[in-house]
Amino acid sequence: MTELSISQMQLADIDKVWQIEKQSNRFPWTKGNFEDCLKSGYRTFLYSVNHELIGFSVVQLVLDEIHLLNICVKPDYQGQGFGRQILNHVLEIALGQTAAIVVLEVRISNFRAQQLYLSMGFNEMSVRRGYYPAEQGREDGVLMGLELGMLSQLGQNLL
Amino acid sequence: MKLSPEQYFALDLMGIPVWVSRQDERLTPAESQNEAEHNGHIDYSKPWLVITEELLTAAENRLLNAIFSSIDIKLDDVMVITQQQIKALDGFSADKTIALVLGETLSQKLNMRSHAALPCKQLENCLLALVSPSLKQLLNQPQNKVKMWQTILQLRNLKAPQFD
Repeated sequence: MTELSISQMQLADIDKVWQIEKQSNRFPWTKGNFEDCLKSGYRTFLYSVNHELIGFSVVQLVLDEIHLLNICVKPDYQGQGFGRQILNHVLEIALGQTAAIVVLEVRISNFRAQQLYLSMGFNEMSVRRGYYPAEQGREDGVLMGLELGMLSQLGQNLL
Repeated sequence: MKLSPEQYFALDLMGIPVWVSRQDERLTPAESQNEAEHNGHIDYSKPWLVITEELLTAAENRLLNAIFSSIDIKLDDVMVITQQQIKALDGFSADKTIALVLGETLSQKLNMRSHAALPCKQLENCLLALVSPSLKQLLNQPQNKVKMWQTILQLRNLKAPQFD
């Protein structure tokens, strides 16, 4: 498996990050959203392969909860296991912070992402009605969570 | 249920994650610190002081670690004392240390007063202090996390104007 190199996102990276965000999402975050996250001290990571930026993650720490606010892989690099590697990195961060739970929201229509999260041990916690904008009105969001209380030593296939 | 090595191997081949209970009984810095405190070693130079009713359990200690980590503070910079060590408060300087009192009941025992200018309280030795729910409360009633999050952000902001 190709090894990802990981670095911290800086304000100067936002243009590149936003390009990936726009390519990957029908309703992308604005540049301002990323700037706000950086200014608020959220943990923001860049993932590169052979010096090419291929993805990022944005994580907010709230006491013992890790909120995965954004995780993204450049379209050309999707379906190659990079999403799983990025998620593993987020779980490593969570374990390092002695967090109790990782939570995230995903569009109800995004089966591919939900499959990934389920395969990593996340469970559906609730559905937020009309949480996301959609082409026609609004779309539900699925709140998923991974309890870390049972997680000190993941299977070799996870971490 | 204990699995045999063969079963672990088979699960691994199938790509099924194996979960085990978190082994968190190992001593973390704060726990080691608590031991040190009981031997009379209190580090008065730490910028953060946490006052608890009693010694922290492993789960409470993990939560405390996560709480301070979430505002970028390492437990190495935090001194934890219990109410039995309250006399040690006199050794801390209001210029260097800010206190977090865990639990309303404990805060009443400490005879705290409101600060004249800042949105916080003061201990008898003038240490700035904030009061939050106890860690036990937080673990039993997660809805208290909202108050704890507000307090911990306030704690961070309190430090910034005073010392930076």
